[in-house]
Amino acid sequence: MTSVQRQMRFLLLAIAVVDLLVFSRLTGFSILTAAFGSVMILLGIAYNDRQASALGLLVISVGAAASITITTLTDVSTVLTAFLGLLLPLFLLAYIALSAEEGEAPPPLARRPVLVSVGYMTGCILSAPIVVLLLSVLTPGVALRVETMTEIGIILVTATALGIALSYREPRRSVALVSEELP
Amino acid sequence: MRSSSLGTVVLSMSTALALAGILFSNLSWTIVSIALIGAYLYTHSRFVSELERTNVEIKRTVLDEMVFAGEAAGVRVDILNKDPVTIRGVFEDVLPEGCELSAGSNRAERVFPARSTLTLSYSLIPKKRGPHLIEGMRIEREDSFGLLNETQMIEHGTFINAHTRKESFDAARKMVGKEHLEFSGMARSPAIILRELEFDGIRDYVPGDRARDIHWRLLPKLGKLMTKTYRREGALQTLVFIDCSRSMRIKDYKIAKIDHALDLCMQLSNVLISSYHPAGVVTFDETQVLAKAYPSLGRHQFEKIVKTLRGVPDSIRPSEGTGEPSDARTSTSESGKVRGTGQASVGDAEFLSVIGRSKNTSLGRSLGFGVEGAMKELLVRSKGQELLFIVISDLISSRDAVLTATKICKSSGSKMLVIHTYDDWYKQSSEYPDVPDIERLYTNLEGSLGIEARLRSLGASYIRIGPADTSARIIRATRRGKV
Repeated sequence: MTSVQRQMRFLLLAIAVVDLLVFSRLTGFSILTAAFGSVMILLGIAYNDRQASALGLLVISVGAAASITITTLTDVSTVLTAFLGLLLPLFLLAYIALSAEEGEAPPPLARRPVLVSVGYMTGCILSAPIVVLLLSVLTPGVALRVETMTEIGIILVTATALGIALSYREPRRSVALVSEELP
Repeated sequence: MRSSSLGTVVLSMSTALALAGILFSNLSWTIVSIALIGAYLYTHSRFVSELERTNVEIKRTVLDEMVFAGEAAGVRVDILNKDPVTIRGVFEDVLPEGCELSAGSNRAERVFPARSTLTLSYSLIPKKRGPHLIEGMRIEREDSFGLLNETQMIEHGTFINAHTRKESFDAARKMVGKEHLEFSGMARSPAIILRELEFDGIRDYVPGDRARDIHWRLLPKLGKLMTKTYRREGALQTLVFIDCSRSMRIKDYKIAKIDHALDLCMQLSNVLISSYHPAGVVTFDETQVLAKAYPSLGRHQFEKIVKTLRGVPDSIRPSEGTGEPSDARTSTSESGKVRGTGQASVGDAEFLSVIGRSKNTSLGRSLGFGVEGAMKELLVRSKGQELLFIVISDLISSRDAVLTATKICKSSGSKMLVIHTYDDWYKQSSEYPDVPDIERLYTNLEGSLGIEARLRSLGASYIRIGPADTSARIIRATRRGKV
């Protein structure tokens, strides 16, 4: 069972990398970063070294960001590219890379945290089109002049606000059990 | 919740990517940044739920039957992770204040899989007598992805009640058979256990006397046989009272009066029991009788006394608690004017009013109030039999109670020995005392002499002791009639 899980991880990794390569324009830099990052993550998983995997993740992230150019998120195709080409594969990569020290089996995906993080990412991506939509209804003249920087600004403001809101929840620091007297 | 170094790197990278997006006017950098923050949020949310659902069972076992102050005591902690989630981090059993680690380790850095057991074994040394609380288990937790840290406390308190130092027990054991408290003399009532014989005198030999009773050394001098006669000593029921009032508990210098009193009580009880005098113990404070062990001679009587003495309150440092030392010092300087005097401070007045209220409660009545109540109760139980009461007190807050008890003793024909733990001798004296200090010492001594005179006039014996006085010394002084 454990070997299957490891194979599954490698398979997921391969799918994520192929997905990135398919949706991005294959430049020398992107191929190099994808290859280097993938090797780092593989080595990290093989040797249970989280730092190496994390480094690989960051390298792949940079490569992926550099290989795709998205100037607006008001088109459905770019939104799909953002989701399928960047967000989901990178999220998957992060999950795989950061669980490198878990040994044979990565921790199972928890449903609520997945919903929270996917909701967060969706909210951030869709914030720009929603704001543009609202602007087009309220002030159509302004909506026509929305630039990339404006969309970045909207997304970053949404990301910050949502991030703070979702990470606001603090756990109980203590668990009380019954006291006893010994000996 | 804290971000680990890796978490900080991921967050910093996300910020850098976001800035790169602004720099290059390219949304893909921003989207990558959001993907990393999304992964971070996933970790956060997951870790919070893991912390919330923590379900561990802690079983702490003290491996020694009795824990002594200054001696190492073994502790074993079994932790069962009942949660289906693995716990990662550093587990640390929180050592009580006033205890130090002796051997083993109370920390373990582990990956604690679900439904498994982790065992920690270590030994700690309680520095002083009294209850010591192990507050619980502290876990420096790390999440599954290494991005977050959190300190979690599993509050599973365990009190370890440390008894007095082992040397005191050893001293009590060594004194058995060597020391004999001859305070009791002859009992008026028929003795129950008659094993000890006291030399009474010499008379002419009468045929039938045992050969071992003949005084052979006198034969060459007198030229005739003389026989030694003995009287049988009666077993005298003895009750040792320990004053546990807060003035007794304050530790100004090397040893607190309460600790010294406890050691003396234990050793005297052992000597009495070994001499076939039924011995018991009563602990009392300003408001109530704390614990009692009635006089008895049973096989386990000493253990019973030791168990009773374990409940004696701990000593306190002057800095501990609010207002305690100042109150106590006021009491000392006023030399017993604590009760019912108009000179008491506001704090004293409040304290006395609390005592007054508790005196009237059903609890106070049921347990007997202070030394008098316990004494009366025992006199009723003894049905007129002569008793010996040994009171160990600093005569600060219990002065009036002890005087009343002495009157009761006198009227009932019982004997009483007051061992006065003299307050000034338990304090650190300054190398160069100034005039007010000397005046205060004289005033205190004068007050103490006054109490001594009153006690002696009521028929009680009295001995004033300091931290250097041992049980053996007190017993010898008693034997020589110096009390």
